[in-house]
Amino acid sequence: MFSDKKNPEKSPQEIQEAEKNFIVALKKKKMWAYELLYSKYANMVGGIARSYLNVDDVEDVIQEVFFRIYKSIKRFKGDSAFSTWLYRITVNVCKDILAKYSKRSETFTDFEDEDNGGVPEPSSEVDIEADIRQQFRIEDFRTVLGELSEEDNLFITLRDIEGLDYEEISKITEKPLGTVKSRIYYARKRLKSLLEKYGIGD
Amino acid sequence: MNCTDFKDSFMDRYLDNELNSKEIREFREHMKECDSCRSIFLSYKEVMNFQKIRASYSGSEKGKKMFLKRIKRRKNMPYQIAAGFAVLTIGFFGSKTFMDFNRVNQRYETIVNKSVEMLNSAQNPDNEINLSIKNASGDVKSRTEKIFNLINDSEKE
Repeated sequence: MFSDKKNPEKSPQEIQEAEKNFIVALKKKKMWAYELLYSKYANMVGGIARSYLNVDDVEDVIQEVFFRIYKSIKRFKGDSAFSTWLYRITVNVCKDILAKYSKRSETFTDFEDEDNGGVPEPSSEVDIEADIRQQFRIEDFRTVLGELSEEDNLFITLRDIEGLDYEEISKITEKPLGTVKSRIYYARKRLKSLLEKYGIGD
Repeated sequence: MNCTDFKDSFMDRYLDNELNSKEIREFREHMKECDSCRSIFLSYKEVMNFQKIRASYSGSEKGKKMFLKRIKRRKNMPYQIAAGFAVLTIGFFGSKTFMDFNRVNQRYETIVNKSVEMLNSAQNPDNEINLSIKNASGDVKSRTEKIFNLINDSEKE
């Protein structure tokens, strides 16, 4: 994240140094560091929250994640990358939210009320029939993703949406590498069978 | 390659970028021949792309401001608590000290008044106290006289 596009000459050491300074500034509660934290990581945190929670409005999650960082940055020892730590906090905040909602036994996702904010609008040149077909597919996608269990959704989000490697997912979820591999394997298997069930590929 | 191999192993390893070039060729060949496997693979990719687009998020300036405001509030909280305590402490001890001072002052005044009264009365031989002292013991009388002499001497000096 600290790679500077305007200055590609920056060495990995310099980038590492910049991250170190950034963390020191966070620990010293410097406002510029928290401004940078939001600018650099809000998209990442928001993306995971949207994918994992299956909702569009995630501003509250982002606020909570960054506030937890503020409260617990002193405990960050730098044993893992800062981004790994941030991922872990994001996942934990999302888990807390899911637990809260499941306790109230409410359906967290209400597809009826959701607008299609995240879906790109088809261009006007596309014919209406194709539009409708596409719309049906989108509904199918939502249905399939909504049927995945929370855990399957988490592992698919981290691996197939975020593109994180198994090792990092193991650190984020604090689960052994072997467990992570098998969870991802079974999550994908269940997703494939849901796709078959709904005949989405046909 | 059969369909089970494709779905349970090759496809996952393709998604994880773990296939070598020979395996990739086999993988593609199977997809050409098998509609069902091709369909699963393409729909998997499509769902992932859909979710990537749906989940993509851009942080807002409003959100950033809200967060920074919350941080500032939290950052100032210890100072506010400390200031509150300081005001209370100063209020409490301040009033206590003031009361103590008043009490000492009053006591001092009483002592001085009493002393003046005693000195005045000591010079009057018919004074009740002096009479009682005289009656109580002659020794006391001579001691009192000695004390007065000492006081007089020191005043002269």
